[in-house]
Amino acid sequence: MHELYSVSNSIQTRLTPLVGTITRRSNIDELGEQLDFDLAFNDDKYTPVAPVDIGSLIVLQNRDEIFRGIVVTETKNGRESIQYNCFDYAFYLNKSKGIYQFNKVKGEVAITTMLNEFSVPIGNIELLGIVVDKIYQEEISSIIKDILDQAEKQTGIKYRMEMRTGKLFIEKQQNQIIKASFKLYETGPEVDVVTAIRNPSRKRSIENMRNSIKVTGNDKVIAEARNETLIKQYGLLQEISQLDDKDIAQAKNIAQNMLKDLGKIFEESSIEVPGDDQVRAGRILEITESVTGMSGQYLIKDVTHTISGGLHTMYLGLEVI
Amino acid sequence: MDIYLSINNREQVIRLPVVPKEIKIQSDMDNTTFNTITLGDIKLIGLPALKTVSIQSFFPQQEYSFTRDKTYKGWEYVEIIVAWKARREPIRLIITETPINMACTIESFEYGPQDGTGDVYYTLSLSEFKFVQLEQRSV
Repeated sequence: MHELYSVSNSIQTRLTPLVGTITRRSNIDELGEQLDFDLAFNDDKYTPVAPVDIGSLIVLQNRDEIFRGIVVTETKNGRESIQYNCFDYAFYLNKSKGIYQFNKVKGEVAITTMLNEFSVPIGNIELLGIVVDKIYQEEISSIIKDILDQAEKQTGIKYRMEMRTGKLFIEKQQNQIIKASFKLYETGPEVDVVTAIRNPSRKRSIENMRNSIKVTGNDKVIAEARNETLIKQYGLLQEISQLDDKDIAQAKNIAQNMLKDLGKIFEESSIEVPGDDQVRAGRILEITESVTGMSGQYLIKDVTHTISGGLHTMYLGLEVI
Repeated sequence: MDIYLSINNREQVIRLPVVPKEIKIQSDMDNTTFNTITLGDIKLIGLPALKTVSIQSFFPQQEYSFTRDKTYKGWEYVEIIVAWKARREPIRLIITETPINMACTIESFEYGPQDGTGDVYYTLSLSEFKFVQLEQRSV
């Protein structure tokens, strides 16, 4: 059973008896998770008033802690239940801007510097293997994303950032393969969610395919990567990437990594399945679904968990990797 | 067997003068059918819904030998229940010689005369009321 708690003025309150629906959402392009819930409200003398306010700490637990964040928005409509929108602590990194000048600083050091300034606790930041040499003036989360993008372009490794139990983790994406399961009843066996897919949808397109990459620097082409098989089958789809002087040594790597990323049929799929708390955007699921033909490893682009009336389901937006 | 209705810890109690022919408590579950693409429908077990009960009988305006309680007459009962509704408080339903004892809300109360006897026929629909308390502790 999921339990929702609020903490304000050093008092922890178990909100669960008054909670209607909880939705928990994460997206691969956003740092941080959102949690929305509504609380029963009535002006009779029997319905307790929950001590929840803007800025209250909210914790969602099942067996373990799943979410920790703060109330950002409150909406009241007459005698209807009160809606609350919460974000985890990445909210501060998404909303605050900073000015930083990094002179040949290691990627992970640059990120640590910013997080320390905003007092965001660090869980783990893996070595990124790149050096940052740039001036930034934007939201902290955008700066982190830009650093991770650079790391991906230069090393070909994708990194994911996320908050867990109030701490920030930056980890390699391929390490995030998960098995999601559910139980039909409390004492029942664990069943793989993939066996109970509802409304599968699969879209394949070459709209965003690029099967030839040209990298330019100093106004001339300095590296090229092509996938001849794809060109023969689908025609030439070319992308040009312009490099700054300092990146020129990486030109060949960058061309190949871009080709790896763009030289494919893009597939966007979505499914609805019974819920598993460990499913978050950025994780990878193994899916075989014969009706729409989904097969293989899928990256979870976005996920919306809905917990209501003791039932937990989730909607997954997927991308083939 | 007697049926008692009361409000606010027996501040006011009525014993139904005529016990209905039958009384059944409806206790549902809020389960969901999840339509999967490979297994077809599967059932996801939800939580118990609120119990409901409907009482259909009449409040006698006339003297009958079988009347169990003569404290009030026909329309006086109606007045009491209508006043309870306006208080926006749960009431308690107790059926003696059964384990039934539950806090209820009045969902609907339909009443009126019938067949010229002057007795007030009614249907009282009740729904279970759960008292909610928020557990708190210092952290």
